[in-house]
Amino acid sequence: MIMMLPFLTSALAVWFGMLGKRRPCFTLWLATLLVFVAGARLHLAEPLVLAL
Amino acid sequence: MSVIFSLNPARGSRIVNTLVLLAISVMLYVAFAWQLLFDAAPCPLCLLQRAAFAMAGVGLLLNIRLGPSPLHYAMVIAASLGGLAAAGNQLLAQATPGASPAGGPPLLGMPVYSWSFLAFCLLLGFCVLMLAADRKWGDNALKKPVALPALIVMALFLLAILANVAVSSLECGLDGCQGTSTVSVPVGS
Repeated sequence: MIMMLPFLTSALAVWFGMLGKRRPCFTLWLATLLVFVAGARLHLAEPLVLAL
Repeated sequence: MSVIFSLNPARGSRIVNTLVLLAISVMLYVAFAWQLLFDAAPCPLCLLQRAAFAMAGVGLLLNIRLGPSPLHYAMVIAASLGGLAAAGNQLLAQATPGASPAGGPPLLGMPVYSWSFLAFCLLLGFCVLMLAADRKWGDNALKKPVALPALIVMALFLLAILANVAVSSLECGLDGCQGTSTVSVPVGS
């Protein structure tokens, strides 16, 4: 669900952007960013085992 | 302060933004096709990178529709930094011993996430260049006339995102996507 959400909110943001409505577009973009950060916290938090 | 009267303000800048949005749409379609063609496993970091491309595209789309603005470029920069983090993490994860390959076979000699990393770097460079060179329009939210090619590019971009909505919901379902973008080697093994 969380991986589908950023695409859903950004699709809505694009729709409002195409209509030229900046405020709802920007609000939905911010929502996308928040979901992106939540997804990143979930998937970027795993430790890396680097062989340098 | 000077006021610029023009029937079609910032035309050149909006054309450049249209071309960059077209490039992002093409990248989204190629990544999408690559995943379907090679039946790659659902990969959370790949989806995060695509989401970052979608967010960057929204900023470019606003530049096309409402004219260039520092706010719109800031949206592209924020999205690109997020995308760089996701692509960089995947690059490092693939460099670790025991890493399982993710994102399908290489595309033109480089893995898809490396192309993605490069594209986010280029997007950042593009924003720096445009913010430095394209300063005279200020910021306003008045709708500008959009030519048919730009309208087609915007529609293509929307379709690319809608395709990702469908694929991510089909692949990942209602729970989180547990793919092979990162290694599962425990620390200290």
